[in-house]
Amino acid sequence: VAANFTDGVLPRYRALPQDAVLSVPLGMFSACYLRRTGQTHLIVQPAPQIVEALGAGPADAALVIERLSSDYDLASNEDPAAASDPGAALALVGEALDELSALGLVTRLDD
Amino acid sequence: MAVSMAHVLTLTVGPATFRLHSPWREPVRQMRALYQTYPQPDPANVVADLTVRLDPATPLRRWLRPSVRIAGDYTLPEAQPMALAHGLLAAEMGMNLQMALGWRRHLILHASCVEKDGRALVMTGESGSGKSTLSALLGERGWRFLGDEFALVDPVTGAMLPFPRAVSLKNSAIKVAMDHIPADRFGPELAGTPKGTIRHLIPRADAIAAMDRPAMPALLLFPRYGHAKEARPVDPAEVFMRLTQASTNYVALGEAGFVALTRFAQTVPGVALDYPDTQAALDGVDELWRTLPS
Repeated sequence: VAANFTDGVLPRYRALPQDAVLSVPLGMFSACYLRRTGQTHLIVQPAPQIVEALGAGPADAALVIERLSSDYDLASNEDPAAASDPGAALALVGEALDELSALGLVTRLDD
Repeated sequence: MAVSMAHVLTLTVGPATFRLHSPWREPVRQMRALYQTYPQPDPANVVADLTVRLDPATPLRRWLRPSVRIAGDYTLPEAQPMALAHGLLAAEMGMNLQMALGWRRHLILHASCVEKDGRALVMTGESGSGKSTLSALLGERGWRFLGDEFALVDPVTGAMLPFPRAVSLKNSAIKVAMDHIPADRFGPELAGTPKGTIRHLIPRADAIAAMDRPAMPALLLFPRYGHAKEARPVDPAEVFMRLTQASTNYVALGEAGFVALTRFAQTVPGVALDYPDTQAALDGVDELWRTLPS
């Protein structure tokens, strides 16, 4: 992930089809059931919001932050540094996208 | 005409009908006596949901130093042979095993359950947490006993279904229960089992008579014995996570299990209750129940 940032090229991700996953909010967490594998994942803020932001179409971390910024404060829930430092916010969301992709909850698009 | 060598008992507990086979007479006789107030349909007229077999560990052992091995539709590799004197325990453990692994109609939580005012209290925790003893004692104090080992969640309605098997009391819990409950409700004492001394308690007749009546869950407790009295809320995500671990068939049920368990975690408040002794636990339950929003 870090290498991609320094290259200036961010990986892009897309949401799963709507019927591929069941999500249920549980406080700061969301329980997600992947129909294809039958696996259950419990994800914590800001991951559920990031998955939701991808619902508007494929995006990289920068575009996800732009979509989130209107109604979600990354800094207050996760990392205070992310508020004042755009690089920190980018790294935070980039890592979350990478982890969500490893769990199969979002799909990384090949360049 | 076929001649059966086996002793057979068919027994209905809540939604499940079990068929118990044994080459020996004694475990079946003991089970028939222990469960004499439960429906015992004629084996010729009923198709059982689950089968429990008590097999001789080897054919010869049926006659020499008899020992039993639990079998049935599902078997566990670690199911050890037991002395025939503990055949009743083997039958009980066999019913647990078949239910835990074979039942698909409901989500099974390793939990006890009681009901009052039409609403259910579910208690889950490790062995030794006191959930079984608490459910037995509450069942004598104005609550309806639904089960001490498995709590069944209806995946469609979210209701708790009774599964009021005999309560398996262990070691010091036996005396606690016998101080409060008439002696004729207890089975024989089984000393020197792999779990220590065990004695079964038959639920009250009204709990058995109402074993087809479900109740919506209103409170989930995580009791913990041996600590200063304290109650703390457990948030829905932790409730969900701990109940996936406490369920014997969550994975097997797939999406139905997910829907049932997330609904439970969203709608049923969770409380961790530490207690130093039984009376403190019973008082703690009463306090929590009184302050529950209606």
